[in-house]
Amino acid sequence: MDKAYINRKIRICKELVETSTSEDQKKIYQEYLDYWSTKEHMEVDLKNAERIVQELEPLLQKKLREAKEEIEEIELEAIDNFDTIDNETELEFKAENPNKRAFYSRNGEMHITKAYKEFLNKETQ
Amino acid sequence: MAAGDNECRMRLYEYRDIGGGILGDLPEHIKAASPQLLDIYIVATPADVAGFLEIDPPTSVLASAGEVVETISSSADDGTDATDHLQGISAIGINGSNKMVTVQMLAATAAWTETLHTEIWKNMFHCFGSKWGTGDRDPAGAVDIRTVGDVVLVELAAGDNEGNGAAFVVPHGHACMLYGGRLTRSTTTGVWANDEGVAIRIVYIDAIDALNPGGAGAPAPADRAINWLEFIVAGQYAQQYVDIPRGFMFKEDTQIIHQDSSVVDAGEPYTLHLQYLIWKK
Repeated sequence: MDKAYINRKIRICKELVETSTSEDQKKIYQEYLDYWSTKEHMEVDLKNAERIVQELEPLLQKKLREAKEEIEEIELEAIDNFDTIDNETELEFKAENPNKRAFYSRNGEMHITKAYKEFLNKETQ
Repeated sequence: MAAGDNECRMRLYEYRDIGGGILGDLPEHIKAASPQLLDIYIVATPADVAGFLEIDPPTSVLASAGEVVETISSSADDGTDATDHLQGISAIGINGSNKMVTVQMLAATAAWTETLHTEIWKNMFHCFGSKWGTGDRDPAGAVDIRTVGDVVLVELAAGDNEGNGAAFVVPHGHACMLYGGRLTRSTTTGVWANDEGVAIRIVYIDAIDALNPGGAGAPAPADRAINWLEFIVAGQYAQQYVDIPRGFMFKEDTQIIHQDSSVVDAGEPYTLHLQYLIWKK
């Protein structure tokens, strides 16, 4: 919003507060004055916020990358731990398919792989 | 008029303007109070579904202890120049002295930028274009009446001299009487559908139910008592209009809203003429 417009509104509201003929009216105009004064501050705050965001963006991107890498590491670790569980069926699957995983992690949850599911189906038939 | 569209013309007549012996049968004490006549004429088509909706509501409801308002146009072709289009807009509402009034507000600049006016308003109900230059006989842009906080109350669309707003409030210290009218079902096909019709409601909310809920002890909206008068025109062989009876009274500070609905599920065009007599107690 145009700063000159807000200033004009503030000036009008101040005049109305000064010339109001009753307490009720004064209160109404004071509320409008507060509203436009807040708008004025918001304009300044908004500009400051834009500048801060621009300055912080490279730093935020770096932090985000680091966080992603950390999550990936944790997930891989979880898969490794999960795969070492002493489960006979899983060991049989591993023996038959040394290059395939029995489970995978997505969004922090463990899921069974398609290959292992097929292996289990074959086992139960 | 498409289903769901509605348009209200509201005019306020002062006692000196009420002619034709219309008030002939009124008691002398009412005539002595110089009553005003609020005339509401609605042309509308309810939505294609049964369910009551407010007819032509104002953009925002003003319920204030009293404040001035601004006007503004979105077009530089409205304003004070002789060759401009709209130059003045009139509003109907309740002023700072609890009187229902029509006040004309004129543009102050060639391109109608925000213009502060001097009248104090407690409520504002409706607006209409009332002064033009040689450019055109309707507004070039959207013309708004709004609070100093930029909340639009009522407005004219570009090219439309009749603004919105079909609801009103009975001024404090006044009495209001429904002074008759007529609900007329129209047809665009020349055939009256047997299984359809139009229903309207005059909804009135008493002041004790709080126009502005809030404050200690004020009823919540869900607890407010909403009353209404309902009129229906329906069927193929019945008379296709209903005369609205006169005599129903509304107390001071009562909020009156008009609603419509199709009787079944197909919106049919109709006209609704209502008159309310208002006088100081």
